[in-house]
Amino acid sequence: MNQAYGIVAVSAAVVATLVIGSTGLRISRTTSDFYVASRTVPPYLNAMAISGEYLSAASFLGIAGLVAAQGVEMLWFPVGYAAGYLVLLVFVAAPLRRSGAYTLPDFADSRLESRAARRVASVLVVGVGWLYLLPQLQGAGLTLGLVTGAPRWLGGVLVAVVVTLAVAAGGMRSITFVQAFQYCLKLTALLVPAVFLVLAWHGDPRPAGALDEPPAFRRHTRVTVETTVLIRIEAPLRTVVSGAVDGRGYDDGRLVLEPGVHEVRGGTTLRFAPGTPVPERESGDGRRDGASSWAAPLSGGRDDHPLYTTYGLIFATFLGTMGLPHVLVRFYTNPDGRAARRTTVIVLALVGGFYLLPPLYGLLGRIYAPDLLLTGTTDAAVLVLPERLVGGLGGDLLGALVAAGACAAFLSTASGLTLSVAGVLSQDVLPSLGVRHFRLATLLAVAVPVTVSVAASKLPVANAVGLAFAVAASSFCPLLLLGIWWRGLTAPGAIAGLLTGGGSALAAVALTIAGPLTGPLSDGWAHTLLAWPAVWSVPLGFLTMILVSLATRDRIPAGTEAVMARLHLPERPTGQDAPPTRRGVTTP
Amino acid sequence: MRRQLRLGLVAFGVLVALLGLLPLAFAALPDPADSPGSALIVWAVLGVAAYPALVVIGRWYVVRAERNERDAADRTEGG
Repeated sequence: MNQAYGIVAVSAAVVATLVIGSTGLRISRTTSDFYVASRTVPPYLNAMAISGEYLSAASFLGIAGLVAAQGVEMLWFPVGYAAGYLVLLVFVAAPLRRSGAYTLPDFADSRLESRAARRVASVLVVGVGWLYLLPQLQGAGLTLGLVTGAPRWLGGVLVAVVVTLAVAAGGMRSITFVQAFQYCLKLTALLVPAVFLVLAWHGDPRPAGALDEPPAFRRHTRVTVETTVLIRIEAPLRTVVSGAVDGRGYDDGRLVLEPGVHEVRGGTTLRFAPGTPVPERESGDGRRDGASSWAAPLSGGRDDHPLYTTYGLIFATFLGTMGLPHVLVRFYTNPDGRAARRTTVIVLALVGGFYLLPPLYGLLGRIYAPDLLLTGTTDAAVLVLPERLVGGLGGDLLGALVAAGACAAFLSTASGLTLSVAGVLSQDVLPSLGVRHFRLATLLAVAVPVTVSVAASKLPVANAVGLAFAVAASSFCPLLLLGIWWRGLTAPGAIAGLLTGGGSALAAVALTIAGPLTGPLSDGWAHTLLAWPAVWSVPLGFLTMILVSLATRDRIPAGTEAVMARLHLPERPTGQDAPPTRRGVTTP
Repeated sequence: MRRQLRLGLVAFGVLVALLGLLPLAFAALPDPADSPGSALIVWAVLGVAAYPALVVIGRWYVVRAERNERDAADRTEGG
């Protein structure tokens, strides 16, 4: 990829973010402006902002990469990400807006009249926010490293600095414009190259069937493996090796690999002739990394129980969306409950439209960039495709556009997350002193995940997105659904449910991520249950919340009837209700 | 409130019926090694058809919910 174009494109995206962010500085004077744009954002703009914020690096790069590597099953990710908004719409959107709270802890506080519930919710919001920030920063490192040749940690730090500046400077009003702009940028950055890619694919004299398997190299290909990998070979395969294979060193040596599993040392370069089938990558413990039955559903890659895994994914994404802090905080910027609903429908359309594109990149990536399957960096498929398919100046320019879009993807999600984490930190953790403290909180909100991502850059944090969704689904989903639709919810019940549901999901996925488990947890059902906790942890959260609430029936908050009426009755046409009390925020 | 909840549950039920049962349906499809058509169906359903369906359900829900709210407001003002 041409580095000069890439650097220019990424810099342009960053500068545009900062400029649009700083124009908001003059408008946002009061605390209310700062947090929720004084609630005057029209639906279409707000919907674009929500979509822009939601479509993260995982959507922009990750889905195409997953589809290229693991096939059609991975299409459940975008479907779930979009369907989460439908669940949010039918159960949560309008009542939540009418609750008059700024954040999830605010909601817990006003609905349950309990400081303790507020504190538990705050801790969980910060936890989920940090979990979700981590993969954004690492994705930034990957992209910027690929585009500009910068070291991995630099990308994460750069994004963190830009986000801190933008958020601390302008707050929500400016962020709204930034996010809306970034949705447009992201859509353009995938749509325009996609048109050219499809044309190039169509004009290819030897078009390969998209669903052919196994994929084959289409021309002479050099593949340099960064870390040591195991590959599985089905039929004898000719290659030219510089480096070490199976413990023997070669220097441009011809080698015929016999069927079986071979170890390719990190740093080794393999060269393949056109038509050679792409060797299959094996994960360390001998499970297949899954290119074999790529086009079929439920082949499930490396997991042993594909049907369960699929439902784990569906539970986490359908129900987790409503619990993501950066998504919820945007709903408070709607003028009223009806606008909140309409906004959500527009979001569904915008997000769904966007998700038509990444699978296309996944398909093409498998045909034209099969070497990524071998090196394991399939996340880069979106970035390298324009150069591979279109080539020349046009390919460079399209590649630069895609890079700018990827940059927008992690900038927007990271700034939204930072904003909501900082909001909670400044209200509930640091003593509240207004806007100045918010800036301090922003610094803290970014500093922690940056430190972790720099310190632990080898951690398999791609899983962290799934973890964030699973934790959100098992803690905030029960709190919101029961809080909005059930009068019997009590503060002890809510706290118990948040802790059991969220805590068990957190523990389960932390165990799987923490590393090479040994013994009974490393394989089979136990492993699958831990890796996809949502199927059992969400019902657990609900059940705990309901049972403990029933047991503490005498502690139903006194103001429940009034709160429920406010949640479910439409606003007066004038919309001039007395502002609900908010602790810790100076209402102008 | 009860009507809004029922409406929400109906919309959610449609979602579950449409998407939630898909994995089971896919599991029942013939092995794509035998019939290449079935793989194509999965791609079309998950990759394209799912999104318009979501928007249509959402749109339907909003129209109904707003009608419910208008009815409720009429009743309060009338009585």
